[in-house]
Amino acid sequence: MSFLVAAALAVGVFVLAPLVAHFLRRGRTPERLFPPAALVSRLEAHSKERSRLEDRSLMSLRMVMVVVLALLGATPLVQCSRLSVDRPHGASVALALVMDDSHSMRARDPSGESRWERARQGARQLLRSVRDGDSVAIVLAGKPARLALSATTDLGAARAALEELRQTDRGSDLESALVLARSALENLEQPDKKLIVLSDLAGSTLDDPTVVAPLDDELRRPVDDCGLIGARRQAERLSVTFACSAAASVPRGLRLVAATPPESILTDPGGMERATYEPRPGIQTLSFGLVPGAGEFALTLTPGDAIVENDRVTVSQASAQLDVAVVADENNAGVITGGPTVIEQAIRAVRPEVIVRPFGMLPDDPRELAKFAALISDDPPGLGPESRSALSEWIERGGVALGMLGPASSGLQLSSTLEPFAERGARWEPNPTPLDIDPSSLPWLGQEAFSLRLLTRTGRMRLDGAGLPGSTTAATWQDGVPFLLRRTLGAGLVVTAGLPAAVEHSDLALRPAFLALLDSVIGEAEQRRGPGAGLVGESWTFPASSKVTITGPDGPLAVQTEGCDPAAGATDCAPGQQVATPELVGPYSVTNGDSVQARVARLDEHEITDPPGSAGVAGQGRLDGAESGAVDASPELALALLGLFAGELALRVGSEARRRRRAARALG
Amino acid sequence: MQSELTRHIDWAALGRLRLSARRIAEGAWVGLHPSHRRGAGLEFAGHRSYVPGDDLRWLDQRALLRHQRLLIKQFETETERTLRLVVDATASMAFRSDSRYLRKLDMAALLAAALTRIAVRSGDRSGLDFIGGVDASPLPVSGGMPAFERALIELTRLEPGGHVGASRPELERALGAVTQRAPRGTLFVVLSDLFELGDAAPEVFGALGTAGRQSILVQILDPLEASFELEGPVRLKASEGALEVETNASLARAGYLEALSTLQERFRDGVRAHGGELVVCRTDDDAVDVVRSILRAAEGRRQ
Repeated sequence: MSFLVAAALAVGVFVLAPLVAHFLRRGRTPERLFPPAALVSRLEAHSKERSRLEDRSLMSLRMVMVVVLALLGATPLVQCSRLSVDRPHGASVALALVMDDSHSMRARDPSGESRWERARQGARQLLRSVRDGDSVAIVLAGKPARLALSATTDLGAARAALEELRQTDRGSDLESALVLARSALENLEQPDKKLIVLSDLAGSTLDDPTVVAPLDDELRRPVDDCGLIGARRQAERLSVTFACSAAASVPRGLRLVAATPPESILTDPGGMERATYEPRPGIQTLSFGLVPGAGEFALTLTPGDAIVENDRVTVSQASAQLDVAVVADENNAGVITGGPTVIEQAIRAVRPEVIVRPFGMLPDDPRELAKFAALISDDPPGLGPESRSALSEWIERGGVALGMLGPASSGLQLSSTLEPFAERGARWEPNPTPLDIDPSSLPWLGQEAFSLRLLTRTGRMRLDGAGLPGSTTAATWQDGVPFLLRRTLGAGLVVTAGLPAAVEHSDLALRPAFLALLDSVIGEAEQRRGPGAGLVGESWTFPASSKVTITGPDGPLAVQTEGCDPAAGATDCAPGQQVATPELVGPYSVTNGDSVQARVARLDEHEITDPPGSAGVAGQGRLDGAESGAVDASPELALALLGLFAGELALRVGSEARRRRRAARALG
Repeated sequence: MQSELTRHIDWAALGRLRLSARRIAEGAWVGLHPSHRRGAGLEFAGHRSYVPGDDLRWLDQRALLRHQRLLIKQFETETERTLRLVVDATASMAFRSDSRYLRKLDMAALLAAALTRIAVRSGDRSGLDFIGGVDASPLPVSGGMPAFERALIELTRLEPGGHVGASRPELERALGAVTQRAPRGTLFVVLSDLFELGDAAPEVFGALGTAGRQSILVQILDPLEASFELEGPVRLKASEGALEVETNASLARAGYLEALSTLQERFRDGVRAHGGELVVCRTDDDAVDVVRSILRAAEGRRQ
């Protein structure tokens, strides 16, 4: 701060001068000699009234003027940070605004303004600087990335679209958003194409020199935040997961919020109240004892922090369990040491909260399957008509079925088929030579895909040509034969694997990829049939024929029909499934026909644990797309001062008119 | 003081002025003013029939030859006029609202000196009297430049002070010596702000114009007194007495101006009843214009 700035700010001290003058003036009426005083009428009441009413408003106005004058003098200090589009060639530009609407953008700074609001303010500033002929596209970086506005030259539409954007609790998917943004600008004629990311870059670093990430200081300051990721009932235990950022420093506590006394919910409610938890970066899981039959309640994390929206989680009775049915022959899928089958053990290892119900054979009644979210069938020896009907109906209503076909699936009885897993043409191919799965065909498994080498022992099920209509290949053997088939059926999903779980036939059950496969299947089940918790932003699908209404934390959730909407009266195309995407964390009530389900959209913990990223040297230094410049605020302040002067003048004129009217009345 | 006074007036401009009287003044002194007596003079005044005893020098021989009648030529006799200046030197005359302006007493002294000079130049006699004032010494009626010099000296050493009571006897006592010694045809010029002189002042000043005399009241006002350009709450103190008025000047302005106008009307009515006139001036007015106004008033021309 220079001396001149300090001196100008010091002028602000004189803001008290009008106040002092006002009180001095009010306290004592000025005296003066006036020989013809006898000709002047006494008007003491009017004198005091003027001091009391008119001078006060003038005083306030003059105090403000002194302050503005001081700020005007210090205008090198008082600056407005404003983004604007840079035009190195002077021509029109194509602009893609990547707005991060993920949960981490809810973080508020000490002034109470969230990162999202700052990002949107920056976008508004950028849109104010665009001109006719410029194209603007808006991409949302919340997972999955979406195109909120295709590239358009209608700047009014762009501004309207920007104002309609809403903050969500989604995870972050910046890389996909950038791909989407590039594709949005790809075919435009503008010579200058600019990608501007308005994001905190949580968990990522932006080194792409073609992308500009302004608002570095405002959006990427680490914040003290801990949030509740989820709370699961598991029999009479409650598992609470919470995550903290690296900048979290204040110990947290958990508070129970319920309509019933805490004693009717927790076995040791005092323990929860007394305990404090150090905010270690990452995830922590706490366990509490539950009273049998405990009703719905909520947990809150105290004290409040930078993101208050993730400090509360609702634990509903319906969200207590996720049931998975396992149909396996203990003789084949069992283990030598005894106990549950290898499938059950794997599920309990990867999803301990899941309730596993073993079946010896597939139920024939769809009502028996209704309460299950997923079904895993190991080496089924064909499915009879009743079983097929029950299974198909259950899948169409949102069930997820995994069929692990093996030698028993080859020898089908006359009335049996492998539907809905595969056609009858599927056959077991004995092969003593261990075969490998092509890891490149399983990118969705991640690193676990590389654990599928030398997988077979006795053979494999050939699924080539055995896929039912709508099937897609999700993984292949090294020779190109399909290993995994994936088929959507109604609101549900069918996954068919070409190996059984039995260790005598393959090593599949002993590989990490097996756990990843089960986790993926159960995750799909959570999304479709819940009551488990799916991530915010992951879509829920429902059959096209169902009448679905969803109520979320902020009211009704829109359900959209993919393809043709039967409600729209289209007859020349088949309607697709219905899709709803939760945007906010919290409990949702899904009414599907006569049944009511409770679902929970949970938070991606990375939105809390991942620190804000940086724009790197390239993205930060080359502000090709925007300028985060210090704009002199003098014009605004001068205008304000001019307005104040005009206001004072108007006030004085008005006061004079009032005085004249009063004087006229006083003189009768 | 003399230089200060002369600095504010253009004496050359005053040189063209001549004090003229509306009435024929009595007096033995020959001057420029027409007398009601006929006699030796330069200005022909008509004929009358000869009566025995008339001076044969004034017999109009041409008329005798033409009309066969004895006619005596008559001429107007020019006589001088007495100017009595009454200067109000009470405390209120010390007021001035701004250093740019003269005190009211200074303006009064300036006007008095100017009128005295004009009278002396015209061959008239003048006297100087005061109302109030500190060690103020009245000057008896006299003529010639020495009278002017004495008047200047007296006006120079004049300091305001004292006050006249609000009752009629007190004011009459203050003016008593002036009125008793003034002969017929005397022109009284009263230089005052006319404030704080009591309710009987208009009648008392009007009475100066009786018995063949004429009175001109000159009200000298400070610009502030004339316009009352004050704003907001103010406590006003009179210069004579202990009167204090707390008011809102903005609201009271119209009422004050109306009261001032009423006061002036009362004085104007008082002096006009006896052939006089009221002249109002401000201390920031041009003194020459004010003197001209006084002379026009003395000639009987209304303001």
